[in-house]
Amino acid sequence: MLKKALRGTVGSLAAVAALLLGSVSAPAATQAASTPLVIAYPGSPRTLDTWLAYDLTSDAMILNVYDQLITYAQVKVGKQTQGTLNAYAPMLATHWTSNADHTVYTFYLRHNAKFSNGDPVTAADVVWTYQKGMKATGNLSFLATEGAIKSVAAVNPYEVKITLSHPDSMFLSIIAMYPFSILDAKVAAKASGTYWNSHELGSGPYELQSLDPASQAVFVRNPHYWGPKPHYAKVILKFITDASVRQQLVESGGVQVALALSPLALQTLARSPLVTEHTNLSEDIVFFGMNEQDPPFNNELVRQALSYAVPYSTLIHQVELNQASAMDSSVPIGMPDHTGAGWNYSYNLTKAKALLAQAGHAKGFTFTFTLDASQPDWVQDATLLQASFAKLGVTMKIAQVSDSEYQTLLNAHKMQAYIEQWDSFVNDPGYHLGFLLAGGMATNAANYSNPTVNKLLTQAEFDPNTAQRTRLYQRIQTIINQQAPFLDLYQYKWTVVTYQGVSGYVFYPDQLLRFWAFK
Amino acid sequence: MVRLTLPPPRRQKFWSRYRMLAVGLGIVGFWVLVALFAPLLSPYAPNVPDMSARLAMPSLQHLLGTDEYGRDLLTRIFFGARLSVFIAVASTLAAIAVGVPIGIYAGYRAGLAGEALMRVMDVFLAFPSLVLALAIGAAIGPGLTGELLAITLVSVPTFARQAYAGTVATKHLPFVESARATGAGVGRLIGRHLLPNMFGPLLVISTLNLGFAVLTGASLSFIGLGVPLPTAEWGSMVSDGSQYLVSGQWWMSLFPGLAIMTIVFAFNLVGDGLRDLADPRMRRSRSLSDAV
Repeated sequence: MLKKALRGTVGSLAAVAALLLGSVSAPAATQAASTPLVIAYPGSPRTLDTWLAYDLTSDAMILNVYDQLITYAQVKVGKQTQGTLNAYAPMLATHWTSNADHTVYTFYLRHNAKFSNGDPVTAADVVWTYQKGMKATGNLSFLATEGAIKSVAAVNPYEVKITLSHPDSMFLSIIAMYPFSILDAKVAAKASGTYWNSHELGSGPYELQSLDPASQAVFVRNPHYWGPKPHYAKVILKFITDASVRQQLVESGGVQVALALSPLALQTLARSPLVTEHTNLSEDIVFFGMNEQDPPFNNELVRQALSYAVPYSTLIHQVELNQASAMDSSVPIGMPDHTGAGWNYSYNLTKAKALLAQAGHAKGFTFTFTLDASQPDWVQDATLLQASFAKLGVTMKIAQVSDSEYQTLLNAHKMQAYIEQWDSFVNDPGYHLGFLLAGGMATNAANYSNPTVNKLLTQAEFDPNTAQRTRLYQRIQTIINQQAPFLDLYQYKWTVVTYQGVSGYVFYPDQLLRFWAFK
Repeated sequence: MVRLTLPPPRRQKFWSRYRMLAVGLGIVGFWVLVALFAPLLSPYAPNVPDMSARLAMPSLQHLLGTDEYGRDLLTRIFFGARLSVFIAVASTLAAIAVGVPIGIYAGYRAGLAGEALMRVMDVFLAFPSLVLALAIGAAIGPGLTGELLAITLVSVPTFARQAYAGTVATKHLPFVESARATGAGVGRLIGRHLLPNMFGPLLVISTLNLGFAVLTGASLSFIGLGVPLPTAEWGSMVSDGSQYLVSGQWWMSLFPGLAIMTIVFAFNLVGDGLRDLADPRMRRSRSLSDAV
């Protein structure tokens, strides 16, 4: 058995070595435009249907082939240029206007935009796309509702009018996302239901030349693209599930860009002079949820006590190896209207014991924690939390389950305690808190419900006054931070690794790569 | 002139003939002692993290190094032995308790029910044991109970088939017929005449099954179907360490892997040795080779 395993390992290493040797011969000092840009992704796309795609690879493949009406703007942060989800730039629409109460928007389309098959992009395509999304029953059709889109109409071939059911602060942010990619109505209307799972036809900078879900996707420049020609004529996405293979390939130049590497791999790569790590704070948070319908977690003091027993620094520096940052609110740092008010937690076992005693659990208690074992860093988090809670007399029994079983339990709100990750699709505290902590929401697995919070969330959603909305969201955060429905463990950083000679990477908080930006 | 050489003393001959059995017994004995006295053998606690000693290389302070939580690997291997030995012994005893009665019943009665039982056993035997154990483990879910059940269920057919073969081969022999003629009941026939005659082969299979059980338990733990965190278990230790192989922390997987290898190897040596001991043909061939 051992011999067999050893033989397998040696075989794998030989395969990796062959890949590395094959790739080293490519000139690496500067990357010519004629040389393809090779990017290592952690998995193949599940679907390329714009209204169903929901994974890192699919989303990026859509974003680089399609255009939306508007896109996220770029801003300067220090010396670095990065994308922001809170400001917008023209894309298919050169400009847009709205009425006084922001319920009717008119978008003016550019006249020179064409799909990669040569068809012009017109208002009819926009209307068809939006109506498809509003009628769809797929994963992302809810976004049309979230954006309060009531109707879409073509004023003329290059003008589109979108009417909202009420003023909605999230509207522009939502229509800049990839599900609102404009499809060629003439082609899309004729295609069968599953055709778009593996095909793309957009007006963006690239077109999909070939796709082999088992190994790679090849993109070439869209000859009809209206915008500046991207630097790379060809971009190849390699689907490599093994993170250590991605690490070795980028270290040797076998691929020029790699992402979703483990903290340990990034620590190792940081020593290599041939690669550059581009690290930014994401809005992807990790928290320890406690089911409030399950005593003793219905007691605010118990939740606060455990908040003081989290070894925050150890989790960030020893487990995540600095690839995460401390949180000070249930709303991630970087999201509009974030505030740390009411969040006073640090690792303080004396205070934790005092709060437990006050809650009537001076001798501790026992609870069951469900762990999604597919996440190696969460396994470490859980082990360290278990050891820390034990010092309070609290016994945390760990039940490891598979990813699919975990999702089932999460959706059923059946777990007493769990670790979960959340990256809000829309960069808005109303969206973020509404999904995670509004009473009765299907995604509120902690069953947290506070009538005041629920009321304030509704009030903020419909308030057109930006300053007032900020005040409301900050008040909500103060209440939530004090009540500690979650132990806010950390906020992930997002790191993309590039090999020497490749530049131009631009970070966007949605973590999707824009291939056209690379030089 | 003919020189006569005296044969070696009987004890010396036994050990030279069965030295591999002795080695196997020695290794198994070592692990059993380690399992029994684990708390006395190490100054460290097996499950308490010490992040200041995280991923430390083997040194005088930590002879086999530490894991990602700074826990002493040698200590965890000692404590892991308890679980591995327990899983091996418990699942094998359970498989004997279920498999042997099934085999004897099917062999003694030889009716439709017996035939059906043995065909079910054949279906189980048709699947690769490890794959079947992983499938059963996955269906039951992680935990010690699931692990024990999975290993037991895949081991039962081996014992059932051996007991069936032993029963069929023995039940019509003259001494059994004589016992039956003198009025011995079924219980007495089985207990006094059939079981003692299949004891040798069952002992050999049991010993070999102990090695299989350790390996299967480790495999289940490797894929996360073993005991819950933070219990020290060899298979899960290999699995945890495998994430650190590329970054150079080789000791995390290597040493628990060696522990698994030695005990499985030892159980196999003991099994092979016992088979040789129980098989008169093997004894004769060895005697002949000794004479030559």
